[in-house]
Amino acid sequence: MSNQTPYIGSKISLISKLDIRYEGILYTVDTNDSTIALAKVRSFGTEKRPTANPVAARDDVYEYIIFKASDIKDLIVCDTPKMANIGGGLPYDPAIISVSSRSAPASDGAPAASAGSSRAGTPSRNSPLGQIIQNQRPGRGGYQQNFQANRGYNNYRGGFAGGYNNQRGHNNYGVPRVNHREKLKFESDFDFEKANEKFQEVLVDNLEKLNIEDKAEPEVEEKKDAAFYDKKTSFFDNISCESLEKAEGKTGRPDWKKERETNQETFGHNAVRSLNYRRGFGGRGRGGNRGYGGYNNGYQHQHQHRGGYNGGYRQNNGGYRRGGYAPRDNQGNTAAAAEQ
Amino acid sequence: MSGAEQQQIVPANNGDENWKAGLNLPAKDRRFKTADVTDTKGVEFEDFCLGRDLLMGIFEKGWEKPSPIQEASIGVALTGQDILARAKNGTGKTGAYCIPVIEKIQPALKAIQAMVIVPTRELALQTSQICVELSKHIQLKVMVTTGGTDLRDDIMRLNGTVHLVIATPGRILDLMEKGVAKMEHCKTLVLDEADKLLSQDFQGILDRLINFLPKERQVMLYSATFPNTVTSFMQKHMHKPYEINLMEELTLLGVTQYYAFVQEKQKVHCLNTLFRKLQINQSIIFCNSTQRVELLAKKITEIGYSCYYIHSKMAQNHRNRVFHDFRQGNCRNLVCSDLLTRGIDIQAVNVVINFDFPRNAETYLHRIGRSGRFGHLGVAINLITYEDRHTLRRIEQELRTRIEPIPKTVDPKLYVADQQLVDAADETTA
Repeated sequence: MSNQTPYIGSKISLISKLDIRYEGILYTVDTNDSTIALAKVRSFGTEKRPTANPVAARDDVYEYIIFKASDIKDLIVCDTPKMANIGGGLPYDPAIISVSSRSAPASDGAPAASAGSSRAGTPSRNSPLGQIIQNQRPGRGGYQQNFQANRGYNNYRGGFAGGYNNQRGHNNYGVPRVNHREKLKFESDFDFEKANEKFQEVLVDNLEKLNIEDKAEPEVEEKKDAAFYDKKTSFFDNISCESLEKAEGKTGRPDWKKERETNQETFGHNAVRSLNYRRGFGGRGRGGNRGYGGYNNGYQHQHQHRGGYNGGYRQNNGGYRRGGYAPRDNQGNTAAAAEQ
Repeated sequence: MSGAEQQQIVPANNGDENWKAGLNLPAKDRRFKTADVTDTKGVEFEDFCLGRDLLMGIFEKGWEKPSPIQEASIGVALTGQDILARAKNGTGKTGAYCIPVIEKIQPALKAIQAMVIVPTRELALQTSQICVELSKHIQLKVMVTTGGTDLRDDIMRLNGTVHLVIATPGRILDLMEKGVAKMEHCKTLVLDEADKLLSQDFQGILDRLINFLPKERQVMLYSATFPNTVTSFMQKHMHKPYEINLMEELTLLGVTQYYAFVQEKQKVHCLNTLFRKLQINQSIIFCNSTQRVELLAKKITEIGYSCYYIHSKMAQNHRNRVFHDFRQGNCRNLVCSDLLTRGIDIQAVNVVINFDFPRNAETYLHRIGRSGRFGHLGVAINLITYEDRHTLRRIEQELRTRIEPIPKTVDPKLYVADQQLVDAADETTA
């Protein structure tokens, strides 16, 4: 951890909006995401603060917890560790973005940073943290290496999106992503009410149109409610189900082109375009797919551009027997088909 | 659970009336439960004349009293009759067949005596774990066999003693056809999620499989959904099945359903807001394709939340690890395909999100049944696009349920565990 700032490495006590207090070692601050990461964190619960939902303290020490700045109510830099105890599950707290797996419940290993002054600062959110970020930057090279090393690991385990990202989280943290992926950030909340109002309008609109072009809406409306399920008349039900869909020849599945378009709309062009080689990226899924192999094409293609990752993959390549998966997008999509 | 009141109920076990005191009981779940699991006649597990060793396993699992489906089915199953049983998601069907199946097995007879077939490997693991726990005090060999594992291991295993097999259809059929799994003593067959097993997805495997069983056999079908298509199997292979139907309606009382109207491109934003606003204990997020599962999992980590993902195209060892770790609570969110739509029981899940709205009522019903397990409360949130609008109304109508527009804040009483503790919120009406 860098020594460049007086605060990185200090013991921090913060209180979230739910009045839960956490103590840990300040690890990084990220202004882009407005988050801060503490290492060796313990939750002290709501202690005696007046709150609607009192929460007990916990014994466990969490390797890292990343907090959302907007959900932090108060933050104190202090070097004198305080003790508390009692177990229970780490309670819900929206301020927590991710938690790395528990380390042993014993709370040393926290390097008691600079001795002396018991309280280096008063509730400090703006200026000191700002400084921290400035000073953080030079240190990045080191993290980056960690990050990549970790990828190999993730690649190997595969299948874990976030679980291992949790761990990756701290290495990764505040590091510019090596490829062009941006961290996503939504400025405001999605407005459900507004959207749902719109939905009502759409429905009304539709109803009006219905009168004009009623053939355009092949609806199931003719069926009476009782036709679907009525315990009194039959043990069996008549609700729409996969078997019926298939019997009627509907796969219910859009063709791969349509799906690709939808995917682009939902997740963005980059995400979809990178789907083929992305599987190896950062431990997401590549390993998960080793069993059936065949991402080679899309993959090796990419090797040219992404020299940095080759090593790890090559080692695995032996396991891929079937090639040529990549172009057959539609095949990869059948989530619902006979998954046993 | 003091021993005193139990004494007269367990006449057979009078010899040692303090056996219950020695039980290693788990912590009691004090959450409110809906009538889906509490509306019973008051039968006790002891009333079925089960062996004490099995009873110990049952209580040590934390099962105190039979749920309605267990009440209705354990006794009948013990008589050896064929059963057709229908009960809602997460109301105790697994226990309803595992208990009689285990009770009837004679440990001294070293042969496969019962077989439980389930549609997915994850479900097989889950079910076998329950059987192992229930039979903890009995010398019972439970074997789970599914695709995606080394066949040789299964063959080795079957060379030794196996009493009870939990399997997915393909692998066990293979083992039977190879003559490795010998079924001449297997007189009990359970099909869990029977309608799925008898659907086209399994293309008649069950018809072939059942021919390996002796003529004198008991066949039991369990599910929450039974389309008419099941009848052909019934007529061919079942003998006067005893029908148990505990479903007045299809949906769970404890699961509140909402929709949020979104454009396709707003879905991730919407999900982000849900993560921020909801008190998610654990969530399962469904997508309609394996690709979308992976794309979404990636997006979720990009927006700063952690998640696992799982789908059928992953290597089995990774599927197992994700499933196991998610159950352990190592991660809050799980993105998945319809692989986990049926049967999966993770009590900590209080929120189900249909990131992609399913196309039929059956899938919808099973998906939202991943929360609200065993009569607990949960919410299901559906992201609805313009294209989904008719499907939404159709499914709502078919299931005779209400899917309401999502309110500005979802009342925590509807899904947050510590708001449901019975002592605190006795009057909760779900």
